[in-house]
Amino acid sequence: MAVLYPSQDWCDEWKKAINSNQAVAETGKNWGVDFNGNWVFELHPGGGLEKTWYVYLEAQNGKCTDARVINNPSEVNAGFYAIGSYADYKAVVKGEKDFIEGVMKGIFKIKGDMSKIMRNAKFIRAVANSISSFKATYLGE
Amino acid sequence: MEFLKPHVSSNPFGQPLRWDSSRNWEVMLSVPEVKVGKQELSGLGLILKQVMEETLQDPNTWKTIKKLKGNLVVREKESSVAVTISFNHGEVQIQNGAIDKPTAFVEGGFEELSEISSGQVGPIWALLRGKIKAGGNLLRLLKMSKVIINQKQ
Repeated sequence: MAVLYPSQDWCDEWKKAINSNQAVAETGKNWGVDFNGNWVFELHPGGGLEKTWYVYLEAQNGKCTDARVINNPSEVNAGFYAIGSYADYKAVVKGEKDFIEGVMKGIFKIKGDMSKIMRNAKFIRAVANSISSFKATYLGE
Repeated sequence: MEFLKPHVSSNPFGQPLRWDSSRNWEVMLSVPEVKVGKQELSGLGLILKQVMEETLQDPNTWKTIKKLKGNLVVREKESSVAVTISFNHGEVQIQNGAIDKPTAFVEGGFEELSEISSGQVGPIWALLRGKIKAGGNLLRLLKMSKVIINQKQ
């Protein structure tokens, strides 16, 4: 069954997709160990989204321990932020755009310790790939 | 035992002193700074800038970099995003895009560049195995690439 992006159902599916992904488990062993590996994804309005949404992802040791929609980033303790428009995130979730390519081009702005991202590049790639591994429906379509 | 304590101290003129790994007191007349070109940096540029700000804190890297003059182009293969890092005897600048005829260039995918930049894989190893492409003055490339290789993690 397709789930609406963004929604709590979508977050639940993403968590399942991450935790059943072997590449994530193998490459993420060091992620979030001795540092805060949690993420907040900030989705800016446009492309059918009317207000800013935040998706929180808790990741440690190659596992996702929590994925949920939050109202405000101050509710959580995240080490990394990814900021972009809903239209661009939608293209990533659909598998039409590559998240890392978007980061390189500055379509998505990343805040956090870049050396941790570079040291765990394969894990970041695996998590980014998992985002388009299940069916979703979208706002504005 | 006071002489054993300080790794960073200050001299009577107020300049910080650093006890570097080659056991020389070095007066740090200026804190290494990475300047940015006129345009807002791409994601690749922002990542490399943060890495460089860390690596330049290392006295040995700084010692190498402040002797250099030239340009290094770094290109991420999949996105074709490139940045140019310019060295001018201690002045380091990063800007979007690739300049014509750089001193050296390096090109690779995000994972490959990341592995090199985080010190997990040596640039020569990656080059010999075809993981990255490089060109220009390879000796200068090896020296310049020190600034984007963060060994301390």
